Amino acid sequence: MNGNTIFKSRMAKREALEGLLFAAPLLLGLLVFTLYPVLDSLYISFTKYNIFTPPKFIGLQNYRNLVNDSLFWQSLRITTIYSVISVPLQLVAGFAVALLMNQKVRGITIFRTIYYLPSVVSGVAVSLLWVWIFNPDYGLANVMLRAAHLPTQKWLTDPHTALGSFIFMSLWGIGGGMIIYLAGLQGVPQHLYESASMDGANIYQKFRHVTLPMMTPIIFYNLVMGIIGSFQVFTQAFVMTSGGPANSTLFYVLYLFRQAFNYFHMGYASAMAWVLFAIILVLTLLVLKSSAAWVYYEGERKR
Amino acid sequence: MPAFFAFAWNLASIPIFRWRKCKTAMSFKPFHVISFGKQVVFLLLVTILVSLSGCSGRRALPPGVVRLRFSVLGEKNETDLAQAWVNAFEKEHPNIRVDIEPVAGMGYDMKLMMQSVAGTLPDVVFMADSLVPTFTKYHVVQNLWPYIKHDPTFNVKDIYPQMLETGMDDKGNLYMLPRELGVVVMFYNRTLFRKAGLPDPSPNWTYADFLRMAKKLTLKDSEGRTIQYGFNANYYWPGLWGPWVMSDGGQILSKDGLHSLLGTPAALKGLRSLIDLVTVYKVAPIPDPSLAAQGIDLFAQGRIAMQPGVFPSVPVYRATMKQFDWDVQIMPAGSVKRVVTMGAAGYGMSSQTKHPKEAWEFLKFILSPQGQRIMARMGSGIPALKSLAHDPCWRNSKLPPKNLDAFIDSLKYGMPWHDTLAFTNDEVADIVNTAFDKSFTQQTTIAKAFQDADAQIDKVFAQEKSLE
Repeated sequence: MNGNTIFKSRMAKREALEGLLFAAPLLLGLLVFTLYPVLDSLYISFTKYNIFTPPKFIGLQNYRNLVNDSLFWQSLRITTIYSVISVPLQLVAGFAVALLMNQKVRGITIFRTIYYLPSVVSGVAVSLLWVWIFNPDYGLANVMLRAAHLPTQKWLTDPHTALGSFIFMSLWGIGGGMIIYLAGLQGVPQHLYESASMDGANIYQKFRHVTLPMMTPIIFYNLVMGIIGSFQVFTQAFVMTSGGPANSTLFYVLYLFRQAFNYFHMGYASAMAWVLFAIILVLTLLVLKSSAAWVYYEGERKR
Repeated sequence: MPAFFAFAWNLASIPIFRWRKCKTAMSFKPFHVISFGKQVVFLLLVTILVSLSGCSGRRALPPGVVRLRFSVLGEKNETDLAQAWVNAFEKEHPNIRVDIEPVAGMGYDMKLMMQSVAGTLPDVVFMADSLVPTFTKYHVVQNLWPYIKHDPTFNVKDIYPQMLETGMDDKGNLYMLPRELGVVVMFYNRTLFRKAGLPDPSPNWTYADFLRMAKKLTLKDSEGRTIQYGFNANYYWPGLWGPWVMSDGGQILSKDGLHSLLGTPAALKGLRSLIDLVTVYKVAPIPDPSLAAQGIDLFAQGRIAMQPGVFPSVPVYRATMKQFDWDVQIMPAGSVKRVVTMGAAGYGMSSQTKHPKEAWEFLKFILSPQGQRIMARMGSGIPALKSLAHDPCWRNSKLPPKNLDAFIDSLKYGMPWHDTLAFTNDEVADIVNTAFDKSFTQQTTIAKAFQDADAQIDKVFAQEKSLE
């Protein structure tokens, strides 16, 4: 019996070793291509580094320079405005569309496909498409405004409307959120609606007291992903305006990219990346903390 | 990162491991030995296969033949041009093979600098005047004078001296052989000129003439919307605003190269006359760089009557502007003098090449009358050789423009290139563009926008100086 346990533990060790060996390519990849660059960027953020000459340690200088960089604050301000408006907008719009797409109508699958389709198209292609839509002289947006006898806009060419145009355009991507909501809606148990009906609940009450609570984990997920995504907006601004006019669409990550790959200020860009990481981390933690108050999980017991 | 972790974690619990558990329970005896040995053999095989397939992509090399690596921009017309040169060159030099390495345009300089650090530079590299400072600074390319001096068969005097200068640093070292004669001329739509009752611009025209014509060429529809503009003012190009400033008597860079002078009264005069075209006279649309990024050219569509441009646009307009008659003219003179932007693309020799002799042969071929004719016939540029100034290779088309002499005559007014170079630095360019944005959207006065820009640019210049 004693021998048997020794044998077993040896086998267990062996098995663990083989398991690790099989996972080794992935673990190594993680260490070499993810963990190492992440930690290295932390080190680089304390240096002056242009890729071609060795990094020079300068302590907190990069972070100190950030505080005095008006473009840093400008990019942070723009990104925050964008997030504060576009994230809730997308949450509500995505949810609303998902509710519509959850109706039992003929050909609903076709509508679902149509609404989801835009989120499959690559970001650059979408951006180029919207450049045309927003063109002040020949674009679809102004053609429609003109047809409705409304004043036309300068859209991306005016610093006052450029950011708003991007927020408007962000609605293009609600299909991604919609599909997740839809999955959630389909998972709401029918018996809850049935018992609500028996209690005499009307449609609004069913929505308010059955659908919404059951959907909170999904809303929570979309909110977290939305915040993370909106703070990393890059493609649209890079392709459509390159941050202009007059830096009115200089999103945080676009400015970071410029510092890193146009100006070769790798240390400064790394510092920006870590500041962004801190911002997203704090926001995500806040949302996580708040989730206890409003997110409902099945099987969880409250007080 | 969390996704990565989760994946690794899941791997330990995927069925194959569970399956192995059952198997051991039944007959565990031979499994360990074989599995380990086989694993190793298998991994080795995979490694060998992968590395073999990596090699087989390159052409096998007969003994005695030298292989040159030649990096070019990834755009189709550039790779086509490179291929045409390589084909003709290899025919003449059976002992040299040239492998083309296309690099996507936006990351070109970055990739070459990385290769320089890694010691994997191609032997011959595509360059442009604007890349000379960075490529010199990071030792991508080497000085070509020694090769020129030791090769009596190469007639450097035949290259336009103004063009040769675009490949030099401030000490006179030559890092790039210019492949072309590059000057900015005014493209104009003769059909639209005639409709407006205007004669062709004369070679002696001035900004005053230009503005008068631009006003007549700007048309509105019944609702007051502009349907045709006289001019396209692309601020995002130092090749446009540089001459505008200088021809009104301004300077853009201090003598020591440490200060931007855009905010000085003389420079502001020229900047104002350019910006006023959009904000005051409204003869030019608000610049929209996204249009150019999409390849939308309002001049080709006949929506703009005058637009500065370079020779490589000629074949494009010949193909797309069939319904219009059009031509080119030397840029108009400002209140003080006439100034024209010059520049060139070209080629350099890697500082790390192991075959300098063969690389020089190839460079020499590109600048030979034969190589130059290949380029000119493809429409990629005007030959850089004076002896080909009247050669049919770029002169024999029946299509517009008629006034091809404008390109050659413009050389007389070429502006000192080195001043503009400082403004092609990405960081500086972004600052200048912001100043222009603020000016034409009238967020601040032109003076304030450019005085602010000067202060920021000087900071960048100082930073660069401290790195040297």
